[in-house]
Order: sequence, then C-alpha cells, then structure tokens
Amino acid sequence: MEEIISILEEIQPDPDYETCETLIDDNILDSFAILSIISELEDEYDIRITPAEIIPANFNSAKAIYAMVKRLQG
Amino acid sequence: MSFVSTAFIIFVILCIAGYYLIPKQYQWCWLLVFSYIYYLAAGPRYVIFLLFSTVITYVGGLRAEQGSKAAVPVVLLLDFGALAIIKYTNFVLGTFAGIAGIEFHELDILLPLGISFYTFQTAGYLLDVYWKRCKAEHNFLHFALFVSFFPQIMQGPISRYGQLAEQLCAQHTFDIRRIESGLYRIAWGFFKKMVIADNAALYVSAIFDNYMTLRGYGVLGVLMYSAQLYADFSGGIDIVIGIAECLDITLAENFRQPFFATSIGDFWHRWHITLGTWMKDYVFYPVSLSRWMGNFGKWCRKRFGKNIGRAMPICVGNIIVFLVVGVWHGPAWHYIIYGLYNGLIIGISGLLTKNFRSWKKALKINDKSAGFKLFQIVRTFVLVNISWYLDCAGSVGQAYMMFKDSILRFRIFGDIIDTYYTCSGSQEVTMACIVFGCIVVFIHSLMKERGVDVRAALLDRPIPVRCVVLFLLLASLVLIGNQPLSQGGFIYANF
Amino acid sequence: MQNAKGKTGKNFIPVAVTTIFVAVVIVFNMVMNYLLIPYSFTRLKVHMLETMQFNNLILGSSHAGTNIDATHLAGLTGRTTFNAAQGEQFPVDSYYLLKDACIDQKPDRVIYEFDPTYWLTAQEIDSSYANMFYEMRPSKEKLQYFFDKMWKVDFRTWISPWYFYRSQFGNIAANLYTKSTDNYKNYGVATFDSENQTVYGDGFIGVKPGKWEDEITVREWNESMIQKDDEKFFIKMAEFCRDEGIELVVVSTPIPAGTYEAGKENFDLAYAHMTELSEKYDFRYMCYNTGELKQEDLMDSEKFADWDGHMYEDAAHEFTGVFAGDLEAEG
Repeated sequence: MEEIISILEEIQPDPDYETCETLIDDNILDSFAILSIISELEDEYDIRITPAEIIPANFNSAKAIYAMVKRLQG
Repeated sequence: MSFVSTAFIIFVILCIAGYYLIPKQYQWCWLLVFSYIYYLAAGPRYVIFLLFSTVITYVGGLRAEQGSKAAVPVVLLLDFGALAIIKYTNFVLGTFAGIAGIEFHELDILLPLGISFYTFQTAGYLLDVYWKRCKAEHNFLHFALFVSFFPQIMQGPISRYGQLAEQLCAQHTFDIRRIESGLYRIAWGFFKKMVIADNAALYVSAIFDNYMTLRGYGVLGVLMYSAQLYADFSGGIDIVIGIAECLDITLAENFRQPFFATSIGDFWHRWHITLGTWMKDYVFYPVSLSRWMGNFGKWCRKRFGKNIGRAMPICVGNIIVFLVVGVWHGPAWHYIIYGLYNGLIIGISGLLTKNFRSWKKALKINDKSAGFKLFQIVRTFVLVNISWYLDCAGSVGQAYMMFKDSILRFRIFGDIIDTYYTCSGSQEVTMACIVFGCIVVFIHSLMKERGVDVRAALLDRPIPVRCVVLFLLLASLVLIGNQPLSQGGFIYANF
Repeated sequence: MQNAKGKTGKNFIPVAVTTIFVAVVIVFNMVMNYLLIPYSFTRLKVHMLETMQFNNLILGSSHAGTNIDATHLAGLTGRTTFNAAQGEQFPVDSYYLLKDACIDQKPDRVIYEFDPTYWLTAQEIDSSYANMFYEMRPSKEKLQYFFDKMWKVDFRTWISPWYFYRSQFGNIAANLYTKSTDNYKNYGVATFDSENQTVYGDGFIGVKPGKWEDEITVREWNESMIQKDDEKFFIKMAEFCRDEGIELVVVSTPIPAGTYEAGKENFDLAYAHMTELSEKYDFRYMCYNTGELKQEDLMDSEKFADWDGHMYEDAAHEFTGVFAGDLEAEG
C-alpha cells in the first residue's frame, strides 16, 4: 500500500491519496496519469493490466488500485 | 428530417404525447417505432445499413458472451468496414486515379444518416461485452432501440450501453417539471443554432469560400467559426438532450464549457466529450496497453531513461487517437494534420509535464493563481483557433495561406457578407446578433463553470419569470435568428 | 373523491399556464404578422381566385403575369379570365391554387405558363416561399398544401412569415395605414402601381417602358437537373385537370431572340421535354420560341423590359391577341 502511494505521488503529487476516493470520478487523474501508473505498476509487480481493467472502480482510490494489483498477482 | 423542420417539431410532439398516454410497458416499443419512422423518413435504403449493423452487433454480442474470441474482431471489422467503404471509397479511388493519371468521376455514395454515431455505439457495446463490463442484450428489439434511438442518431452524443439501455426500456411517468426543463433546453439549443451559428455561418462561408479575394480576414473567420461550430454542435446536442429529457431519458453530456479549457487536453475533455471518452476507452487504452506498445515502452526506457520511456508510448497513443479523430472527420490531409496538431500538442505537453513543473518552480509562477489560469485559457483558445484553420479550410494549402494572410494582411472591418441572406439586410445588425448571442452564451457558461445549474435555478423562479424567459428565447429565434445556408443544416449531421 | 379533487387542483395550474402561454405566443405572432407583412399582390390574387367566377385560369410565373393580359384575352375568346400567375410561383403552388379555386367552381380551361428556369431551381426560402399558402383560406386542400410544401422546411417560414420582414420595423406605420384603407379592405389594386408597372384587377401586370437590366445568364438544361417536385406537381395538375374535365393548355411565352439564341440548345431541350409531357398526358403545349407558333417579331428585344422575358404592356397586349387566336383556332 505504501509503495503504491509513493508511485502515485511520484506521477502526480497533488491529491491526498490516503483519503481520496474519487480519483477518476472527479477527473483528478487524467488518461496520461493512469497510463503512467499502469506502466509503473506493471514493472513493479510484474503484472499485466488489460484494457478491461480500466474502469473507475479499479482506479478511484489508492485502496482500489492496491486491491486490483493483489488480484492480478493472483 | 432536419431539427428545424416543421415535420420534426410535429414528430417530436406526437412522440412525447403518445409516450405518456400509452401503457408504460409499451413505452420502449413506441420509441422504437418512432426511431424507425425517423430513419425511414430519411430514406428507406439507409435502414438497410442500420439493420445490418444492429443484427451483426446483436449476434456478435451474444457470441462474445458465450466466449467466442473471433466474434468481436469480425463484427468490428464489418461495422467499421462498412463505415470506411462509405466514407473513403471516393478518396482512395481518386488518389489512385490521380497517381495513375486516369480521369476519375466521384461515385455517388450517400452517407447513411448517423452511421458514424451508431457505429461508435455498437462497437463500444461489443467491447464492453467482450471486457465483461456489461452483459450482452438478449432481447433483439431492446438492442435495436439502443442502436437507433432517434434523437441522438444524427449527431450524438455517443451513448454507452450500460448508461442508456436500461433507461430506454424502463417505465416512465409524466412529470410536468421535467417537460418544462426539457423545453428550456430545446429552446436554448435553437437559440444557439439560429441566433449564433446560422448568423456566424454567413461570415465563415464568405471568408473561407472567398479566401483568395477576401484576404486577411482569417482571424475574424476562425473566431466566427469558433462561434458557429460550438453553437451549432452544442446547440444541436442541447436539442437532442432536451428531447430525451422530455422522454425522461438522461443522455451523456457532450460539452462542458470548452472555451474555459486550460490546455488542449482539457479542451478535449470538454468538447465532444462522448467522442473523447469513446476514443479513450476503445482506442487509446487498448493501443497503449497493447503488447506492441509495451515493447516499444521498454525500448524507449532503455534509450531515453525512465521518464521519457514511460511517457513515449502514451504520446504515441495520443497521436494515434487524434489521427483517428482526424481521419474520421474526413479523408483529407487537412483533417489529418488537424488531428496530428492536437495529438502532438497533447503528447508533447505530456512528455514535458515534469519540465513544466520545474520551470514554474524556477520562475516562481503560482499555477493556482487566477492570472495564470486566465493565461492558460487564452493560450488554449488561441491554440484551438489555430487548429480551426485546418478544420474549416478545404485544404492544407488554403489553411496555410489563410493563416499567413491573417498575420501579414490582418484585417477585421470591411464588406464581407452578402446581406441578401441576412434577413436584417445589414452586416452590422448581423454582427450585433452574433455578439449578443455570444455574450448570452458566455454568461450562461460562466455561471455553469461556477457550479450554478442555470436551468434548475430557473425552474425555481415564479411562473411569470419562467414564461418571460421562454418567450424571449422563442421570439429571438424569429427576431434575430437566421436560417442555414443549405437546407438540413447541422454540421455534425454530416459525419 | 378527496384525492381526485386534489389531483384536479394540482393539474389545473400547469394546464392554465400552458394554455395562456401558448395563447400569448400565438397572439403575439399574429400581431407581428399583421404589423410587418405589407399588403401584397399575392393577397389580392388569392382573394380573387377564391371569389371571382372565371372560365380561364392562368397559372405560372411572372412571365405569364406580365405577358398575358387577362381581360384582353377574355374579350377575344369570350371566356372570363383570371391571371393568377406571379413570380416565385412553382408548380406545387400552381397546383394548389388550382385546387383552391376549384373548391367553389370549375374553370373550363387552365393555362399554365412553363418557364424552364423554374423547373431547374429549388425554391429559395424567402418571403415568397409561403406567401400563397399564408393568404389561402382554410380548407382540406390547404392542409395538403401544408404537407407538400411546409412540412419539410424551417417552421418559421410559415408560422412566422414576419421573419422575412423583420428589418422593416420602420414600415409598420405605413403598413398600418394601408391596412386601414378601404382599398385594402376591398382588395383594391391602387397600392401596387409604381413607376414601373400598372396592376389590374384581373391579375395582369402591365410593365411600363423602362430600361434593360442585367446580363443574360444561360441556364443549362439537362434532364437530371429537373427538380423532382416541380415535375411531380405539374403532372399532378395535369392529372387533376384530366380527371375534372378541365382543359389544360401549357404555354411558353416569348423571350427575347437574343436570350433564346444564347441558350438555344438548352431551351430547345426544355421545350422538347414539355412536348413529350404533352403527348404523354394529352394536353396542348403552345411554345412561342420554337416550332410552328414561333413569331420573330414577338421576340424582338424592343418588346421586353429585361432579358428574362417580361414584356412591356403594349407588347403583352399584342402577344395576348396572337395567343387568343391560336388558342381558339384549334380549341
């Protein structure tokens, strides 16, 4: 979880990732940021994120991203 | 049936009235019948294309749900193949004939009404099913309604299955407030279309059609084009969404005060939103996350380091998306360059995000200040208007020449339009109508940008106030509105 | 009961407000139409068409309006004649004017003037698009007219024709004055006289001597350019005449020799097309620019006010004499 937040902060510093739950719904992360995050996550955790995973529910909060990563790691 | 035609007005009134009079479980059938009548009125042979697309996507969706891997690519190929053949045959044959030096007469291929928009919708549905974002539709007629729903078929918005289908088939109760709200939206759309777009069109066509003689008016031309395109397209969408609202169906918004955008990227989040998000979900992400792009990213990281390596594939993805958007506008170089221009600006500014941040720090610029925001808005507006040269001109050469003339022979005042078509008989009055319309729209946009829901606020006012507002909107259509130069008239109905 | 009553009360306000609002909009629109639309020749023509008794009805463009002197024709043929032709009258308009006239009477002959240029151009949406419709009395025929002509166009064209006069707020006083006079109330012609023309109660416009204007523009005629609607409504008119036992005569009035020569090939094609139609639908076609009826002296440019083919009053009188002779010769 900590790691994920530091990845997010490196890509886009402003939002408070501990609390924010509307990263996508409120357009805080744009597509550029999302793809940067995905590319980082894929490298870091050796997973593959397909277009099917790109839904708001998976990216709205650091927690959701964490859950997705866990799931994909299997 | 053009939106401004008598036929359409009566058609819509009948549709809405009947919708609430018949038993609720048949409301969706009613919409389906009206949608097909609308389509048949445009020309029976177009229905063949619509039905073709509906049937293959319906079957494709079912197949995809059963786990067929081939169904999705095959159906997408058929859908987009049909679109491509219709849109690009003349261009391709003409190019080949040109290379071979053969005389070529353009084939008479009529673009079936709304084919772009329903093709986007069906393709999106299919991919959603494929990615398991939604279940496949098993009722063919329900699906047919989703594809053909008449208000949106001409010029969008491009709806998502998950967001629209359920609403279409639900039961709806009459609510006078909703009808009133929908009427405001429709009247507002007509106001934008007739008062701004159709008046500004006189300037746009005069300046862009006669760019060899009316030289130097390029700036006025693109500003007028900004006004025309926005008012025409967003006005049309207002009418569409307003009609849907009267039917108790909420469609996706297509515009969010685009001229308040602070960057080109932001502009595309506010302009033709449903096309932008469609492109993002169904082109940009799949392309950027493809294996091929992944390898490209790895290669870039090795060569250029981590940051650029990460950003490069995204840049390329953006450029591809805008190339597609450009080609979709039409098979012509000026549209392709128009797409590239947008894609490159977004791509490069993405690449440089980190640099911008450090520059701003070094120059002690507070990027949250109002002044900086204003600078960003103006800068974006200028960049967008430069792109309009490419969008509106008939060729790259024309855009280039007009752009050059705008700087070297800059002019604003002069006899430009043929006042015969103005109805007011005067260029000054026409300009005053446009400016007045733009000011009204600007105030409305500013309020919305500040978070005021203008229509909801209006609905809370006393009845006389509401009546006066609606009356003024309607009266202005006749008093200061104009009519399109060609019959039919909405720009995006041609895509 | 309580419930039902409450419901009625709740619905009453929106219904009342809507009704009042719609009524205000309608009244406002009517007032604007009254204030801004000037007294027109169209109003006179449509009124005469609906009230006068006549044997001959002339329909078509302004060429028939200026070139066929109805009263003179009546004198020569012994049949009362009304000239309902006017500028911007397309076949769809002619057809419905005829149907409107036939509500109360049945003329025994319709003379339709064929000007090829009309068949090649789509009608512009301007003040004359809906003027005949606007002046026509309510009837089943008018409803059909509505569906055939107003249905597809911008709703403002026929609901608010003041739209086309909105730059003329300065004329409101003059319009009000005109509309208060007996001349207006009695459908008089006095208002229409000008330095260029004299207008007669039989629908004929006498063009006074003046100057030539403009250059000749030649319109290419080719079958594919014929506006579908124009031919469709012309055929409808021919069929209507046949069904009703009304004799249909189509005439192309003389045009200046120079104009004809400049576009000879195209004019000949157009006239040939009408000849074909006349054989197919069995009516007389009398063309004064080519063929056996052609008379060089009628095409003398001195006789015309413009290259387009509008004759001076004297020439029109002369032509009407020739036309009347030919008309009766076979008839």
